[in-house]
Amino acid sequence: MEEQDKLAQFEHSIMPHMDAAYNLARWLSRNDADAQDIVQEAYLRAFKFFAGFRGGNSRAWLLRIVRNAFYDWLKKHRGEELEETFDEELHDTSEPTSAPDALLLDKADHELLHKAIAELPLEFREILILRELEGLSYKELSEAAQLPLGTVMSRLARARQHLRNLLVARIEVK
Amino acid sequence: MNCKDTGEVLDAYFDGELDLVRSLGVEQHLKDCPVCARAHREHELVRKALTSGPLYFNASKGLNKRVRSAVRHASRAEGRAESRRRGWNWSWPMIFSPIAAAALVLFVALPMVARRSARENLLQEIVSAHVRSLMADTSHLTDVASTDQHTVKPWFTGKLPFAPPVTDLSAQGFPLIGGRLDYIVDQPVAALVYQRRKHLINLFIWPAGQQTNSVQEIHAHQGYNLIRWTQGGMALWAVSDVNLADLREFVQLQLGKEPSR
Repeated sequence: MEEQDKLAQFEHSIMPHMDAAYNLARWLSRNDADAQDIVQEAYLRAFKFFAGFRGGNSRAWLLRIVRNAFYDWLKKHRGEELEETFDEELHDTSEPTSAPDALLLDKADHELLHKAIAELPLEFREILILRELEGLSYKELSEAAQLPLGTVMSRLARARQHLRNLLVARIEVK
Repeated sequence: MNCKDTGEVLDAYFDGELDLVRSLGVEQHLKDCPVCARAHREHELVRKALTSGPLYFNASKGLNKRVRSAVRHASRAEGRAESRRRGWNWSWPMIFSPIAAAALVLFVALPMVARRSARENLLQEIVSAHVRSLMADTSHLTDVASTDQHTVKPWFTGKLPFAPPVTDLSAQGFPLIGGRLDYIVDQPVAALVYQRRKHLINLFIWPAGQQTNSVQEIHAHQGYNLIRWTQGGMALWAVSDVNLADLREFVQLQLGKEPSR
C-alpha cells in the first residue's frame, strides 16, 4: 500500500472511532490522562498494523487494539493489580437475591450508576462497555475481547447480574 | 423451556443473538414465568439506564489533534523507510535477469511505471492536500480568509515566486473563501478555496513550465473529482467532492468562459 494512500484510508476508516477508543480506554483505566496515552498508543499500533486490517467492522478492530494497549499499559504501570487473577467462579454472582421488585432503576441516578460500573471487576466492566455503550455483536465482542463466543455470553450474563446487585445494594443503602 | 434453560440463554435472547426456535421458547416462558420475566425486565432497566445517560466519554479536541499528529508523524517515518527499501528492490532484475529482460525493464517497463506512478502520486498528493485542508482542528483551510480577490491575490506576493490568477466567482455560485500556501510534490503552491453550496473546492496553482494551453484532464480519485488544465503559463488543479458537472462549470468560469450547459 502506498504510504499516502495508507494514511488517507486510515484517516478515513479508523480516525472517526476516536470517541469509541477513548470511551473504552477511559472506562478501563478510570482516568483521563492514562486513557489519552492508551488511545495514542493504540492508534500508533493500529496504523502500524493497518495493512493487516481485512475490512469488516473497523471500530471493533480498533477497540481490540485499544484493549490490548490497555492491558500492556496495566502490566507496566500497575503490575500489582493484575496479580489478582480473574476467577469466573469466584465472581459468580448468580445466586438469587431477594431484591426489591423492579429494581427501581428509574431512580438510579447517573452518578450512582457511574460508580457502580467503575466498581465492577475489569473483565465485567470491559464487556459491558463494549456491549451496551458500543453495541458490538457477540461475534464482534468475541473478536474485540479475544474470548470464545460461549464465554462472551456467560460473562455478559454475570456482568449484568453483578451490576444489578451493586445497584440494588446502593439503592437499598440510600 | 423451563427456568434453568431460559436462564442460560436469557442474555442471548435479550441481545437478539439467539436463534429463532429458542427465541420463541424463551418468549413463551417469559409469558408464563413471572420470576424470569422480572429478570428480563431488570436487564431492560439496566440497559436503559446505561444508554440514556451521560456515561459515554468523548475524546477531547486536544486528544484528537495529538493522535492525528502522532499518526502523521509515524506515516512520514514509514514512508521514508519504504522508499529506501524500494530503491533496493529495483536493482534485483538488473543483477539476475538476462540482459534482454533487464533491457526491457530498463527501457520500456520502468519509464512507463515511473510515468504512471508519478501522475498517480500527484493525484494522491492533491487529494491528500484537499482532505487535509478540510479536517477540522488539525489543519487550516485558509491563511488568508477573504472573499475579495483583491485581498487574496496580493497576499501571495512575496510568498510565492509566481502570481496565481485569483478570480471571484460569487456571482456565478462559487464564492471565494480565501487562499493559503500548500506543498505539492515538494514545491510551494498557491491554493485557492471556493465554495459550491456545502462543498469546498481547492484550486491548486503552480507554474506549468509551458505557455500553451493544454486540454483538460479529468480524473477521479478516492471519490474526489479532479480537473487539470493549464492557463497563462500556470498548471491548475481543481479538486472537490462536488459533482463533476459543477466542477467542469467551475473550470469553464476560471477560463473566463460561460459554462456550456
